[in-house]
Amino acid sequence: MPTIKLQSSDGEIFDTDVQIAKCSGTIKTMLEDLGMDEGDDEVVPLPNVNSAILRKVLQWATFHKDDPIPVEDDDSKEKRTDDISSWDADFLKVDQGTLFELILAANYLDIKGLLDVTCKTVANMIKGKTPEEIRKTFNIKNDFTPAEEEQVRKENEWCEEK
Amino acid sequence: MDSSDAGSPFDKLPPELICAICDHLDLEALKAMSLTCHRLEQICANQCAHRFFLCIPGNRLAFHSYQLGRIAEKVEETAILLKTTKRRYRRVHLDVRYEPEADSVEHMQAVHDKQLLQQLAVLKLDLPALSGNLAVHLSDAVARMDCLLELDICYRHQLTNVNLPLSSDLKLINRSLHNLSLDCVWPARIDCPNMQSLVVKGPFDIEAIVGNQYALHGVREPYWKLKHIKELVITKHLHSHPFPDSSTLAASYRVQFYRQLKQLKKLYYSDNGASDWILQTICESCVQLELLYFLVLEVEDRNSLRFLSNLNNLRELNILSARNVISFAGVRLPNLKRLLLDFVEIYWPPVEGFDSIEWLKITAFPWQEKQICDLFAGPLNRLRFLWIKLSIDLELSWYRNIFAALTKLPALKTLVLHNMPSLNHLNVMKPLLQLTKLTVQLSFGSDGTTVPVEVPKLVPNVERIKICADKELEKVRWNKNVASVPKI
Repeated sequence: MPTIKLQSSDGEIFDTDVQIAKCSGTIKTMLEDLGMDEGDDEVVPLPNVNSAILRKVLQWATFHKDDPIPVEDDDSKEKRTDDISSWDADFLKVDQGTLFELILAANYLDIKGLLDVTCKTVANMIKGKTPEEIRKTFNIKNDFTPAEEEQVRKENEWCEEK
Repeated sequence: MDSSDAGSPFDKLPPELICAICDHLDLEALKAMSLTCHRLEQICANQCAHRFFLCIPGNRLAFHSYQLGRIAEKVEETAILLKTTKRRYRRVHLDVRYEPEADSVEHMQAVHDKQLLQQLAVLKLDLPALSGNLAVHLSDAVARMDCLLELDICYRHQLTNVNLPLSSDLKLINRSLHNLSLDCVWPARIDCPNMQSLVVKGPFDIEAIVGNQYALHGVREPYWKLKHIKELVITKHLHSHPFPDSSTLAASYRVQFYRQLKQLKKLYYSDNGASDWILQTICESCVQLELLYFLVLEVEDRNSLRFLSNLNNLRELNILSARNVISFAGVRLPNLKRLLLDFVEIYWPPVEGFDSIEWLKITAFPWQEKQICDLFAGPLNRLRFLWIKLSIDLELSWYRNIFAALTKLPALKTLVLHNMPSLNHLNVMKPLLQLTKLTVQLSFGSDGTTVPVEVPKLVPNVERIKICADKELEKVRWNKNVASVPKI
């Protein structure tokens, strides 16, 4: 099985299956378009991902390496969030910081499946909560004046789904 | 990437990733998000507002309760909100009922606000009166609404009031408008080149009024953009005002009207009765028709349906009732997919032109047993959906013979038996292996809702026999959407 070397932002080298590494659109492009060959001993630097997160990402990619390519559904209605597999749900039982860093890493590495499931997980943490509960959950500081808050509230009242 | 600071994890996400999360949120959750802090509010405003429209609710349903008023204030508030909001609404939906006591013109001026005019996509007006002054203001406002798609004007008339507004001051000129609905009001001019659909309700003889203008003014007539419409819904009131001219003249104007509608694809005709002559006019003029609905067909000559053969593109024919027996003999409709006949007695001789039909709804009368059996034995190879409205006085042998005939329909997937006196009648069914859905609506006073044990074996591919209440089936009433597709 051919492997490549991925280097995290903090310098750790990960010997990785090419097939697994190619779950990442970013790495796939690097390998294919930029002429990096599998046999080369060259290291692929990933300056935006630290070793802890890269380890998690590779763990996810290993489990999902045989998944079909996700289809693009550009429906403008909300997407469902109740279809997270139990493996993913267990995998994402992490602290908030890690979860959000996984979102950033999935986006940077262009791994649609991981981005999707991490966003869904955050969405599920928001759903059904009041604004105050959301602030508390995510440590958001309320910077509205009461008048501004009232304005948004009123505008929201008149908003309907198309 | 360190996570040591005490801020919110959202601070680290760029707007597009917050949006990716928002894509998974429902409206309520999005609204809650927008109320947490400025940054998330702005992201919701900029990126997510396209999912929603601003809907200023009206109170049309509260027909006689005037206490809900203060609509003028709402319009003004909307105008102010649109000036100050950071959100980019793709459309604004305004449903306004004016107060009869108030000066409507003043309210109309609030609608004149530039910001509002430019964003308004749906405008519904419920007017207690239509003075000349208000009509002028309304005409002016409509002409300046650059993204208006739907306009719905309802004149809240009293049935006793005979002075209905055929307003000479109301002129509807708008380039973007797609759908126009006019209830008890008719403008002096309609010039909306992109209009697709026109819904007219009220006691006017619109066909004659417009046809008269066509006859009087030739190419300079004031309704010329009507010629482009694809969909027309005409609903007349029971006590229509007859056209002031003699009936022959009115008739010739109606011909003029339909002659122009060469691009019409859907026609819902809910006049009192469509005569032989109206049917002929429609069939000879609107040859692009794909859907044709009649509330009451009042043809004298049972063979008048032969005119339908002009409609090569007709995909759906829907007749709610007919005064006399009608016949499809000699009718050729090569593209007809749906034939829905409610209170209609058909003389069913062997019909040749029906092989394209996929949906069929018929009323079964006792004396038609053989005719219907012959119909099913005919070329209905593509029939997937069959709805039979049963007369109450059908003998058990009738059921036996009809069920036997059903076995000859190879593609039949869904069967609806409407008004069945007893589920025990299903016992005389022959095996229908092709069937996947079976719905039975029991008639009033029928005996119980237990399906005889043998029956499921006769329809092994039906997962569950649905016994439904009358109300569920009766949803298929006059409604321009539902009329075309009965949902089972």
